[in-house]
Amino acid sequence: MGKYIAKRLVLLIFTLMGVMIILFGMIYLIPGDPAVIMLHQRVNPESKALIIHRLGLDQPMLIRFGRYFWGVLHGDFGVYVMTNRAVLPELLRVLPYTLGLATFAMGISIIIGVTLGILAAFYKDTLFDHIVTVLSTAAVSMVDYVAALILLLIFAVKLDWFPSLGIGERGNIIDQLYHLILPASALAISWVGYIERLVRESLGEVLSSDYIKTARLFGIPKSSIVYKYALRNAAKAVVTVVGLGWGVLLGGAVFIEIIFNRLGLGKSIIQALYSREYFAAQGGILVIVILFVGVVIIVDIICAYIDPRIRLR
Amino acid sequence: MKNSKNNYSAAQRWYNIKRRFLYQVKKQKRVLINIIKTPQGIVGTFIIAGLILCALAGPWITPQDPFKIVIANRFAPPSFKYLLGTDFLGRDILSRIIISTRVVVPISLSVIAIIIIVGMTSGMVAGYYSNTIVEKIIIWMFDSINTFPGIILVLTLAAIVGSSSKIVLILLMSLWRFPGYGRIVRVETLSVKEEVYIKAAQALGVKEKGILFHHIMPNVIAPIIVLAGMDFGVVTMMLAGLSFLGMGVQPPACSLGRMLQEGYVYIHQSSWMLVGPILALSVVMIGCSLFSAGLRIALNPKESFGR
Amino acid sequence: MESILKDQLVLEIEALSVEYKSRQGIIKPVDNVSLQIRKGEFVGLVGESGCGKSTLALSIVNLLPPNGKIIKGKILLNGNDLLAFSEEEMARQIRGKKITMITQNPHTALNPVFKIGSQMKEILRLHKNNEEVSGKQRRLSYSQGCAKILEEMRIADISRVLRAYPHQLSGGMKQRVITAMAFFCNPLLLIADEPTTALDVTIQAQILELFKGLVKKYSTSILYVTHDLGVVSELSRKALVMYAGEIVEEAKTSNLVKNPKHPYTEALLKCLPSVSKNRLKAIPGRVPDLTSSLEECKFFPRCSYTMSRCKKERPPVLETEPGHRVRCFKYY
Repeated sequence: MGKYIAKRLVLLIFTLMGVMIILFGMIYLIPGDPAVIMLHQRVNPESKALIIHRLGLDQPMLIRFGRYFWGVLHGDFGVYVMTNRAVLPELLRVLPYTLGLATFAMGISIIIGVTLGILAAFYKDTLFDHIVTVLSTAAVSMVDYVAALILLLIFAVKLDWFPSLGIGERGNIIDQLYHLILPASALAISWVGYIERLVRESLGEVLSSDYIKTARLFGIPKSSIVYKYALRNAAKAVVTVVGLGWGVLLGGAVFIEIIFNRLGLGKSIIQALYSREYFAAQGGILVIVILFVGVVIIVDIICAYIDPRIRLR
Repeated sequence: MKNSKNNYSAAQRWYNIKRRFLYQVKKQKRVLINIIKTPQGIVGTFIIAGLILCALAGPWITPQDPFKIVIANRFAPPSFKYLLGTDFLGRDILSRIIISTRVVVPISLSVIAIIIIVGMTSGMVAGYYSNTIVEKIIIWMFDSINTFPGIILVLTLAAIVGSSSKIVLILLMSLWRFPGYGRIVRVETLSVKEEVYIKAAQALGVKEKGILFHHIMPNVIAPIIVLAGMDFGVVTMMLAGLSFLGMGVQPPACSLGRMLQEGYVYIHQSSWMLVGPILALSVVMIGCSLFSAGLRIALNPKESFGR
Repeated sequence: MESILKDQLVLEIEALSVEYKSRQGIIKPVDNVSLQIRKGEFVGLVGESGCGKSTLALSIVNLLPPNGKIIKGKILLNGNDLLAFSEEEMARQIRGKKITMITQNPHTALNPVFKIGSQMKEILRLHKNNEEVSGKQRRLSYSQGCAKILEEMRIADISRVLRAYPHQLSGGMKQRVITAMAFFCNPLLLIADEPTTALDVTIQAQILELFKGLVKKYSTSILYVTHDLGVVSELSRKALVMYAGEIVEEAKTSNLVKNPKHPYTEALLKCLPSVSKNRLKAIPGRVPDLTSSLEECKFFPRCSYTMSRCKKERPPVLETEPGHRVRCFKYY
């Protein structure tokens, strides 16, 4: 088990490096002096030279990449060009809001999706199953920002049941949760559809497999079949989707944060991109990618624990 | 008139290519007919066909002039004249939706075409030349792109590279999607590669290019066609999302995302501005889901047995 | 004393009919089947694929798929009507305890994510809470109980097997483990549904030897379902031939092989490859469509002895000699 984890970690570090190279390289893909692009035209020529030197933009590319990489390993993600403040603390300040949103959304979708999926697989081919299937196909088509706009329109503007903007009062958990409900639901809708469909299909497949038949032949009652045997085999698929979905959620949160005007990582990245703060944007993206990669590792480990065929290969 | 290159004359080679193409077309016709047999397939095809028709017919089927500004009639709710209401400049929303398909559909279709071609080629190469440096590099490329949550990648690229030109948009979104296809094709190629008829072709001395495109390709193409059907919707959504944030299709060209953004800005004055584009996008997405579900059933002989 | 015990009927099936609902219509894989199995008897059920033998086996333990239903008939285990048992009662009292069934494919029969040891202990624990399990096994701990039975299956290196996952064992080993699980509670009847089809011939011989030993030791009755006449002729006392949902011939195995009465049995025996023949024979024609309900003998299209009567009615069962029954108009 330990060897498996170590292998995965090494592989992912390499991928991470690749990602950083892409990020870094993106700026160089654009024709023109990178320094000029980063500073835009805001600054007059004298200060420009100073800033260029201070930010190290006059060094050759390899050295800059090396310094950046070294800095990342030490938690130094660069500075905002305009204000000269460090990037990482700012990002970490807004990170909890994004994480909260993603977790809440994922939590809702797992609870609803798994329950519906199990029920639909159990009552296969009944009216209930068909209704649920139609609903989840519809839900899957609801891309996050469309769902967000719909929810915003109906529940916040027309019915005024939920607040439409912001994250709520600082320090007031209830208020913040209240502000979370609509955005998290918007994110969750399409995931409920995915998860339900996945649970229903993999559970259905497991329930009709040979080893379940053998278990029943040996007298194991139908009720414990689902809980003990079937779920464990189907859990692998669910865990994988949840893990991957997490990354998509983190990214998709971007739209939600903008539409609902919340503080969050996605919004900060977009704003940084608009104002040409490339260090900040890069840093934000890097944080998201690190989180995503971390979740992928955890998912792989959980899968290897559930299904021994993977780790013993 | 023997050509020293291939022992075929140019005219004969052209004839061969034409014949092969028509044979593929004939095969696909059967698949298409199968699609129409399923309920999902019918609805899905209907929607997609309608979409393409709108894009083609464009300006001729709009009930009103999509660009005509009538300030006096801003924020009007739906009526006979303006079936989906008017926006903040008094323009008919339905007409604007119809005409925005002219912009959106070609972009999405091009993206799909590119990712199928590039994804399939890279996947086949990676799968065929497994355990070589080439494969490792290609996989590393796939993984690196895939670790970005899609929106982040596209947005960042759009912001940096600038998204004024349509071609750039197309390339960006192709870059975002193609690794998924590449991976699937690679896995399929790995298993198809071991089949006996491939070994036979190799033993007969068929060149690698021939093996890849003539033998392997038809066998690995099925899953990504289904994926492509779904992705058409996904790409359209992403395009609209980009336009929503101001980084996609630029005015004065009309696009669904932009209409959404305008609706968002004026959400308190008129809810109808949002309803139209939301309906349109949802219809596109549902149509694509149904179409690709029908496609999946049609392509899978086990599921379509007994119909 | 012994003869009375031997004559005790363990399983009696009377006029059993099973229906499946499918897209093509209603299928009758089991049509008016009757059979008896005595204590300690090794009975072979022969038939080609699709003749309904697996369905028959499943209906004995009432584990038909959701679209199948037993519409007629009686199944008596030691005199008790099994069809009157509820699902709970079947699961707790019958399956795995009094009647156990081994399926065809050992590779997929075990849950791949649990170790062998835990799967075996699960079954043991399930059935242990009933007095039926012998006192000796209750006194030993679970692992010892598992180890003991694995030992009887002639498995070496028991601790390795218990700690292994199914995919780490060979097919023959898995089949032995499954057989071991089947014998935990000394069942009255073991139904073996083509247990050696997925294994190669040498393993097949070992498994069959195993079965022979178990029958002798525990006097379990075995219903051995197969398409392989060779196995049946070697091991079983009594043989039944099944075709298209009906039992067409039933006799003591030696009599069946020497003196087959039904045309189908005759044809089957002729099909067995042998060193002396240089051509393989096949039975012309195809298995009938099970959805049709024509009133004719089901073997009629392929039979070489047909009379006009065969097309008009279904032949009833005839006992031509004591212990030898046929369904054919030839002997009318």
